[in-house]
Amino acid sequence: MRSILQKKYHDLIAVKINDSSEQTLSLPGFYQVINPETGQRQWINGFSTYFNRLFNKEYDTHHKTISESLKAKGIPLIPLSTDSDIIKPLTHFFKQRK
Amino acid sequence: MNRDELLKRVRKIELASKGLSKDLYAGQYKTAFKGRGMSFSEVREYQYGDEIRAIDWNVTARYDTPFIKVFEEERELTVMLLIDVSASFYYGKEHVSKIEKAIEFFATIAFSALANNDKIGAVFFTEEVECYLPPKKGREHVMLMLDKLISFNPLGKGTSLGSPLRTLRQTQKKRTISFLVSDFRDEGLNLDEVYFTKKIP
Repeated sequence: MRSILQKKYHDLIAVKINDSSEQTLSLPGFYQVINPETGQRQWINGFSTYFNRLFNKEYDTHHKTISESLKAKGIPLIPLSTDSDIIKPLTHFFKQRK
Repeated sequence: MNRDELLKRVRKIELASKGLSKDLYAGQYKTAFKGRGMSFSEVREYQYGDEIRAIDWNVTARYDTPFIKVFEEERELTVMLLIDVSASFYYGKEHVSKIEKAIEFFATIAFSALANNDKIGAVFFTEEVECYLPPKKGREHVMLMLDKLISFNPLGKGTSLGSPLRTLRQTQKKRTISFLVSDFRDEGLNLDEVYFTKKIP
């Protein structure tokens, strides 16, 4: 009984922070990108339209997967970005919850 | 931003939460999280004068005697901030990295909770929990947590969202409002742990 009730104790809210450069490449060029978590290095061709499309798509797919997984669990998501203010999305979220 | 600039920013957020933006921070925070009313405490046998609508019909049917649900008022909340401190979170194209944005968010929520006299705690995590700060009240505690987050040197680099949620479940036996702040760059993302921390219906 306790374990069943315990499930209802925590009200979880996900806050996803992203950087605009993860979404689109700002300048065309050749980049060496490093995955800071694995240390893996890779050269990418930012001149290629195909690659740019692939880059955008990867971000969109990741965002969509996260949003859908959280939604399925009934967890609200607050998306934040490093180049924008946090007040607007927070206010929006709080108003929705009222 | 260096450490001093971040602390200045935190101070600004604190002032904003006290002053003009009170409506934005504490006011809306309060209405969003308070007023859930009562939380279920136990069931006991019905006594004359008890409210009929509080009868627990399932238990009543099982024992063949009327039982009622007893609720207790939720006086204070515990706010937990689960912060990702993995290597990818220290990245940012312009002047602001994701961790700096997370610090800003941390300060905003923490000062709002402070204004509401709620307890605030934190968990910093990478692929495992790196630091657990138990929930406490008071400005000093908030400042200590912020200082710790600003100058934190994580041992790990990766991200595992399961570990902070496990810690949350193991350490917090009472209801909490928890914010999971991350870029969600978890290779083996498994939200099954979330099942135990599901939103209250």
